[in-house]
Amino acid sequence: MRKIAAVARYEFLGAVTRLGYLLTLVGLPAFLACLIAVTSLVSVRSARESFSRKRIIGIVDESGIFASTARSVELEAPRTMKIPGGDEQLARRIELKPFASLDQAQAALQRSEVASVVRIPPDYLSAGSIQEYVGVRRELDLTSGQISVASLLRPWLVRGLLEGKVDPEIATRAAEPARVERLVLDAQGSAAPADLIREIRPLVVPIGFGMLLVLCVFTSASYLATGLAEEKHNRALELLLTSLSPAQLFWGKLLGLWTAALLQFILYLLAVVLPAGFAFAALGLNIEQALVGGCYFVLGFFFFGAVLLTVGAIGNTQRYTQQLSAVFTLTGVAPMMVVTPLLAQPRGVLARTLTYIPFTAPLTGLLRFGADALPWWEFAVSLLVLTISAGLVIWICARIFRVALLASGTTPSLGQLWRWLRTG
Amino acid sequence: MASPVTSGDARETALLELKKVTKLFGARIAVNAVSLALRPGEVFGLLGPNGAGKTTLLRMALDLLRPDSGQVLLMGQAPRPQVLERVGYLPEERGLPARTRVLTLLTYLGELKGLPRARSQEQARSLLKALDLEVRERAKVGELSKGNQQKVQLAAALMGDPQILLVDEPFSGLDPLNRSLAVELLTQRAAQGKAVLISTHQLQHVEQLCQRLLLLNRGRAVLEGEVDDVRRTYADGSILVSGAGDFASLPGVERSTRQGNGNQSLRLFPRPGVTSEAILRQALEQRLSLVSFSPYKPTLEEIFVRAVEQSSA
Repeated sequence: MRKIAAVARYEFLGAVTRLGYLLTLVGLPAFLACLIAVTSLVSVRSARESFSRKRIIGIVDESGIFASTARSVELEAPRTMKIPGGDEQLARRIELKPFASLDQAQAALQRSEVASVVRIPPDYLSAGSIQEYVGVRRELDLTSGQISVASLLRPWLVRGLLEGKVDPEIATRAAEPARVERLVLDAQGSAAPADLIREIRPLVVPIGFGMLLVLCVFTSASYLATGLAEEKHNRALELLLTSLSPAQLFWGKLLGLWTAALLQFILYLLAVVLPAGFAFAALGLNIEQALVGGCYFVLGFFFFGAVLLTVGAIGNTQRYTQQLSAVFTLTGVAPMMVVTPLLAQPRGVLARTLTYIPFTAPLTGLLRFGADALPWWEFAVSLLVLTISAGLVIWICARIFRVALLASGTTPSLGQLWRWLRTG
Repeated sequence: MASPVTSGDARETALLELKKVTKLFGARIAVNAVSLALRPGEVFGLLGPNGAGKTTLLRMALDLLRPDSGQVLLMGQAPRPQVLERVGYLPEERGLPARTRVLTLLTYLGELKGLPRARSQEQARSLLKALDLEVRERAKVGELSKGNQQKVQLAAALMGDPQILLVDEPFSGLDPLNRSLAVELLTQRAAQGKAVLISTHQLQHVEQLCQRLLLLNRGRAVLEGEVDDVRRTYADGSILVSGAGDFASLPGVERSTRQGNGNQSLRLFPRPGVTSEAILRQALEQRLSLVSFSPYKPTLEEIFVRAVEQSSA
């Protein structure tokens, strides 16, 4: 045990003082925080600026149906925007400005006096078509206030068509038939307005755990593979193996880098996930989620660590090892690639199958748990699969290691690996 | 119980014993029934051309490779981690992690040899001092010169004060000053009763350091024994003389060659049946001025070449 502890401490200190680890640990959250802060500020500023300007749309009514086009009118804002972190509600100001002819309107468009020109042709009533003219070079506005002319004009067109022909109340209702309020009925029978944060809340924590696991595997566990390949390449392993057994070396390395990954995980949790959770009015992290996430993190890291350790043992060049490591680590994020069908049917065949495959078990299990579709027995079986797989991979690794470390120069074939496994 | 090996009149316990070990890589025989016994207090030379099987033999001694037949005994026991703790190894290829600091690395290796951390650090510092590297203890291994890296590698092999030292090309990359430091450290260890096995191509070090040697060629032992005995065995009756006069024209001399740096010595080959005493007598009779006169002992390099050629023939 003392030797395993010595290897673990050495590997831990080696990992946490690596530039790559420190950059991932501190640099990545800092970079993401800066990116989010800058883009948020720019978006808010851009939205304020965009909303502060009145959008003028030129109208050329050649049909003569819309009497109100004789004068400029301000449309009721179809959409508002709430500035994050405040109560301020911004509303887009839209004005319809009539023009006597298309030429005049187009000239105004060329002078940028109007944002666009809408022509209502003489046969509008029978054909139902209108044309919108826009300038060649326009300001790109991606704020939510920028919506299509068809949506903007629909209520105005309906009112214009019905004006004086039906009851004004009916005309208004026809222009805007309904504002749908969505209510969510919970298990206790009480209904509350739908809330996006509330809907995604059960998934945020599991996905967060899963992504942290993948990130830790990508950084700390990949050091296992590349570090081992390097030691194998420069024969440092020969020196180490004169003092301890392959199994002691493996467990020491695995524990050391697992501790580095755990530190990374905890620091991310403290620095990013928890503050973000509080900022979004508590994401609802409960003890069950923490327990499930923790179990998958611990066993998932051991499994991936063991796999990457084996990759490092059989790999003869850093490049080969990195390529092979990337293939295996990508399998860890595979559930994210099928997240839509997986969440659509969290108890379906795909979801269940991925829960029992050790490579995909951690992320799938976490996603299914978030969707409240992971029974305890399935959770237990998937953990058992992960544990057995990790143990099996470590056993295989230790078995082929003694021979693998001396086989330099070429990449072993499957047949060779099988021979190493048999001969030990 | 360790097997005794006979050395002259003394019966000593072998610290490392290889008994007819054979290793095959596929159909190729890397080491063929080689035996070797390493005694306490001796420096043993393992020689051989490239690919002779020296590194394979060392790896079997360290349990990095298992022999296909034969037996390896370390201090009378089969190689196990507890026994291997008492073996120091210096691989030929430099195998130290470049990013690690020198003191940290040596302390770690000492801990793996079973030393408590504080004791290991103390020993690492002491070795670095002996190797004139104490000012570089905080440097990363990769920042050191090739020679200094080799010294760190030697220090790594000496961590834990091993009973047996297996060193593969220990003087590679060392300048004469550092080479003598390394030689001193190795001879000190032997003087303390430890066994040192040097695998090298630099035969002058074997002549200088080793009491016994084993020459491998194509996996087989082709020559073994005490260094002096081996040199005597390969002596051809020629004589090394230095002085003034025409030694080559002496009646008993068949031919002669210049020897040594600056050709200051002459190697005389007597005619068949003529002894060295007869040559000396002839030189004195002709009143040639003699500074030295001794039987010629071939260098290990000459012996090496001849033995390898004979075994390959």
